[in-house]
Amino acid sequence: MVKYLIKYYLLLLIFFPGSLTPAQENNFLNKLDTSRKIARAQVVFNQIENAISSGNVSLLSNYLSSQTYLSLSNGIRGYYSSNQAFYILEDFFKIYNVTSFRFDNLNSAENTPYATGVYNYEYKGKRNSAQVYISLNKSAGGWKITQITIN
Amino acid sequence: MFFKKKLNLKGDRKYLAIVFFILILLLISTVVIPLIIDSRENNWEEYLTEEINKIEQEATEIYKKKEERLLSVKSELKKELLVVLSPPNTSYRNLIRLVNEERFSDYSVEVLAPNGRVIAWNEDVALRREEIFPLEYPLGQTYFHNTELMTYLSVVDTIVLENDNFYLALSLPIEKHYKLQNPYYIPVSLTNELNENFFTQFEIFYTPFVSASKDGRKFSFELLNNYNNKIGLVEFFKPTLASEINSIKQAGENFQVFLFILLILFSALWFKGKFRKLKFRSLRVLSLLIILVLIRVLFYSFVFPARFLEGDLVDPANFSSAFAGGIVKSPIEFFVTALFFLIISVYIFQNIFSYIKEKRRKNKTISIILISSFTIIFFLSIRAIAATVKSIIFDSAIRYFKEPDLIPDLPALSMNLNLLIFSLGSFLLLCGFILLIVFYFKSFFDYGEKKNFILLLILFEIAGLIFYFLQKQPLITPFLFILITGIIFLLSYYFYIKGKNVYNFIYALLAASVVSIILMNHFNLLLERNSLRTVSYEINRPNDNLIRFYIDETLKSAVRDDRIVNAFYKKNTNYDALAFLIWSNSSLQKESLQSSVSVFNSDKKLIGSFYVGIEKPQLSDEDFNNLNEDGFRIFVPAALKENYEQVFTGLTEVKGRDSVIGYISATIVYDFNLIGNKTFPDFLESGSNILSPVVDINELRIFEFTDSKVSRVYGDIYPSRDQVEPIWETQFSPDNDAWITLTINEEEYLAYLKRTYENDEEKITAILLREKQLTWNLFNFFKLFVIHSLFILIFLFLILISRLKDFSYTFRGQLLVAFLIISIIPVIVLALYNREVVQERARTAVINELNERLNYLENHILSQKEKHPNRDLITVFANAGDELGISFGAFENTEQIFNSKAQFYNSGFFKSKLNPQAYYSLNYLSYREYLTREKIENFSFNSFYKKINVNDHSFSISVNDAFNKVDIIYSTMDMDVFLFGIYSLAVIIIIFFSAVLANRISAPIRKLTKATASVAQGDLNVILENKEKGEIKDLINGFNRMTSELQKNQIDLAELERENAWKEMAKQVAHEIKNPLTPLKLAVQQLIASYREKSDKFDSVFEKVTQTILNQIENLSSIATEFSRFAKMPSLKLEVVNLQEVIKDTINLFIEEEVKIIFNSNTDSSLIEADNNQLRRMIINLVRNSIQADADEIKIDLNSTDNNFILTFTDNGKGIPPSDRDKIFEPGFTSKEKGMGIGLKLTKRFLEGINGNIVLQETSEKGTIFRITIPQLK
Repeated sequence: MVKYLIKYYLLLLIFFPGSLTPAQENNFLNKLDTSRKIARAQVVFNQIENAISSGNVSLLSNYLSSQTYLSLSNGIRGYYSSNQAFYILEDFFKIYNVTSFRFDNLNSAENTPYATGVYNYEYKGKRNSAQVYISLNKSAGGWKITQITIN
Repeated sequence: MFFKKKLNLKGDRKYLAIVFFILILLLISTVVIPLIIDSRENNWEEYLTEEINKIEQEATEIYKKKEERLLSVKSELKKELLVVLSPPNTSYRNLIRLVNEERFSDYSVEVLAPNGRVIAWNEDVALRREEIFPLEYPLGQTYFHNTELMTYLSVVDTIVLENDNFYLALSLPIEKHYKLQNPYYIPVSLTNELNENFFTQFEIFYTPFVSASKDGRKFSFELLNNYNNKIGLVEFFKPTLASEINSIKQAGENFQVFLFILLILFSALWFKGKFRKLKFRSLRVLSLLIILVLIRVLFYSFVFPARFLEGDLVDPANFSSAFAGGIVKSPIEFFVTALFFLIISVYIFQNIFSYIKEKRRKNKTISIILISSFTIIFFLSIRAIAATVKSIIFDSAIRYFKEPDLIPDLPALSMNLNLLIFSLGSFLLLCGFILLIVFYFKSFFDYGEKKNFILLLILFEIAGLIFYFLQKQPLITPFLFILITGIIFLLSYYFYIKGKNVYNFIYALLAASVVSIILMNHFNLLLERNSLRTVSYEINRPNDNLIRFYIDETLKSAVRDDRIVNAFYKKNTNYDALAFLIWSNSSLQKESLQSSVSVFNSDKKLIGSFYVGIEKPQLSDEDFNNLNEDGFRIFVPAALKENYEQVFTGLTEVKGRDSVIGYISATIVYDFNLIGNKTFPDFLESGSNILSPVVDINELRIFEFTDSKVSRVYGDIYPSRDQVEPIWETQFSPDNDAWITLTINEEEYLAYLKRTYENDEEKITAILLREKQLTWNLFNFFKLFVIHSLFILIFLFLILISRLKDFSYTFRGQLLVAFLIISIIPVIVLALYNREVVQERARTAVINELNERLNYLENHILSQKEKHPNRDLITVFANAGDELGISFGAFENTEQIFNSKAQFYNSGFFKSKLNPQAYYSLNYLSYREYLTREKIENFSFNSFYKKINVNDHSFSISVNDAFNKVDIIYSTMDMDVFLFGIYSLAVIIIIFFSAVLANRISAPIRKLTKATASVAQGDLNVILENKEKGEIKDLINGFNRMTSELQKNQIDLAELERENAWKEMAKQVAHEIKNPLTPLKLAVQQLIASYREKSDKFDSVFEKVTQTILNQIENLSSIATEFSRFAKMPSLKLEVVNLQEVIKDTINLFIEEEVKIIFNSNTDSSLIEADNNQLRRMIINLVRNSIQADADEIKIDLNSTDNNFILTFTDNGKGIPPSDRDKIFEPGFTSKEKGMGIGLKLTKRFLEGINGNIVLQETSEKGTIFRITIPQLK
């Protein structure tokens, strides 16, 4: 009897941690950032440039804010949570395969830093390019991306 | 069949065989795919040629199908026009009707009279008269007709009537060159169609004057018309080896994943058999849990089913959470996870249910541990549910409460389904926990079921409040917690009282729906509040840099576009259309910016423009100076600088082969007062304007303070110093923001404050949102409940269908159907009627408003003309529009001569020709007014036409609600939500009460039916409890009396029969015995006489007499044997019967008794050879014995061994006393008052008759177990 009950107990304990760590709370993208020291906007743009040129959204995830404005050439447009923005960009980079990317204009002004560049990509065997605009905003947690436009 | 027999693929083994087969296929695929790749590499040149031919052929077919459609419609129309135009049947009404029929709505139709005048047309006019004549291509030949905005496939033909030639021009839109980021936009693109069909990129030139590309990477082929003349050229990138290999790999991977998924599913089916045989329930639950989690993880790893899907269901914009590394990163992934979760929850719930019904002994220490554990898990689970619902709201672009349609689109529908599945799973688990807690709670306090539940509920509510205050960031309010806990307790109590029933899931679903909608509404309010922060971002987002970026991007894209540049070389280019084309394909439209695009010729003269939300921009000659070396500049235009807060204009040269051939400029305006884009028409609005669509801009009030003084205000409230006093006392966060509540004009507002500094001045922006009212929350509730009720009704329908056999002809079923028909039909009729009334009222309101505007316009125009007879008409119209603030159009005959929104008509986006129906009604039928619905893209609007006379000259003027919005208090959709929300709730409540009533009314009849069946089976011990009133009470009493009389009569009859039988038997025995006795007596007398006489023949007499005596004794023995045989049981009628079915069928007889009979079987087939009637009697006997031993639960287990079936009857009755245990199978033994003591004896005899047996395995005060063995059918 005792063994039987203990089995149940263990069973539920094994099962529940999953549902006790739900999506909204488990926002690892946001929590990763809490202890990070605020870097200069220039450094952040360099990291963003690396992330986009390698098509690796994970490198970008630290800078996604709770409400990031995305405007992409595949029709995505609006404010998205960091979770959404992460997967939306992941899908975008997968489909519009980056061939090269660099910022050609970078403004690290204290309040409204932004950078623009050209995103060269391959889509269905055809090479194309899109204009990129990324702006940052300083919050208590550090620099966060407020807008990514790839048109 | 042969293999099945040979390999013995019975039962679970067949799944194992399939698994093995799939494994072989998988192995083969790993070999075959590289071989295909090798072969493709080696034969690439040949394959490429074939592939290119194939693409050419298939692409041509796609085009040809469109051409065939066009020609077929032309023939059809031509034939019908011939009838309509032929005298004496000529009818202008029929002509207009014909060309405007719905079947031709995809085409542009123009009918021209022999003199070349257009006499009939439909709404989409592709070809103007001057574009038809002179003919571009011979009659009957198809060709591409190009405008700046659209390319049509056109054909012109004649309709010959006696001596007259009428003309028919028919055009099919084939390529739309402008794009709108807008829900109303209808894409039309042959290029996109080809791109989607083939894994390469196409470009189509809709002109015969383009030659094949010399680029070796591309392949070109000509598009020929129905007379094999070249009319266009298609160019596409040749497939590359790398992309081909990638696609083979992709296809191979998809195939392997498909096989792997099949492998997993068949392995699971195989395991199902093993899984059932696991002895311990806990092991079964654990195994199922592990297996399902493993399968889910495998599905996720193989991106299944997302890899086979495209579109909204896999779009992370619709939902994506980072939970468990992305296992719910899209709606479809969430669906799969929720489904697995539901399966696990249902299984755990059912096992908990069975567990608490079975177990009796409880260890107090374990009970304490479990109660505390489950209590904590319960609270954490509620938090987990809340967090998930929060994620559904916050991690999704779907605005669940703002969907424009009553039944939303696929993403919102799927997310609602996911929410419902997840909530149902959670509720079942939570109810399971409560049942367990109540169960263990009984170890300490047992005040009865109801009181235990109430006591625990109170304790939980108190503990919940403590838990609330312990949390750093509670997700829900204490009220919501109390509500949810209360609902779960209520549901658990209901389940506990009613026991296992499939309809429990409906109740759980209903409760889960209500709670999940309440939570959705709660978090949506939170999102709306958070959106105030987004609004503050948005207000600050369009800074100079961003505006410059948009201008730069727009202009650079335009001058890179060959279509735009080539338009400068063409004759008759519509530059307004060109400006619209540039605007629509740029961020200016995508971001719904108040903006304009202007086109200038090389002499810097404005030749075309398109503008929306701002005035028509003008550039001075100075503005063309100071272009940089690339011929480009962005500047603040002096003319607009004073009118707007932020305004930038960009200007670029358009360079031809060796010179500047023109200029293009773009202007963007940003102004605080333009927030909300009220000047932006809905059909152009991208939906991603200045505010995220979470909150309606009209509900917001925005104040901006510079150095503590109001500097700007948005909305209808100008705040007083006192009203905003709390703002100055607010403590701002490190991010310089804060949340406060303000009371303005006795209304509560939530305010988000953002502090910024500009030029050492402190600027505070306050975004205010009025606190929601109850009616609005009810609207939100019904908005989702309509959708949920659909799913609930579908689920209910599926249950009913699955139980149709039991349900259809029952009295209860008929009652339920009758109730539903009587109650639901009026509800539906009422809902539809109300909807109709509301729609009609909304329509009337629009008509009245538009009519009023037309009257104002007419009066204004006429009064102007009266006062200023010499003022030209166009100025009169313009003045009327400007002064009244009404946009309208004026037509002379069929052509538009004026429109307040000329830029939309000049560009060709709106058609300038008068609506044909309006033309016919006003000019031929002499109507004074005409109202109609028109469309631009998919946007429908009302147009109201009126005929006016100015200086004896007739004009038609028109207003519409596309440019002049008519506000209706409640839209049709709002009313639909309320109506269908309330009525769907009513329908569910009606179904619920109908089911309860039907159940209640039919219960005695069902009891009587079952009891009658039991009596028919020979069970006369049935006595029905009678709590009814009226005739039903008399009926049940009558039945009870009848059974009691029957039973008494049966006993008396049996007694009488026995007595008669004994008498008859005695008579027969006496008679039969007498027969041999006489010879015996005579023989003995003869022997005595012979002995006394000392006869010489004594020896022979002795011999003879003794022989006679022996014969007669033998005779007596035979008589005894015969009588013995006569007294034997009747012989068995053996037949093949399905043991499981007989058991299930028989225990149904006890369904109304106060006993719970659980039947479990571990075998699929249970065929035996037995007497069906006696088998049923045996089961009835055993069950009845248990009931009479006070059992309230009987468990019947059927197990299969090698040759036998083992049937175990376990009850929880008072057991058999030790003194009686040896006698139970003896005839005549009974412990019951009315028992005859033959039941178990007969059972034993019957079983022995079929080579089975019955033993008393165990008996005690806690119950009795009988074990029955029955041979399997060989």
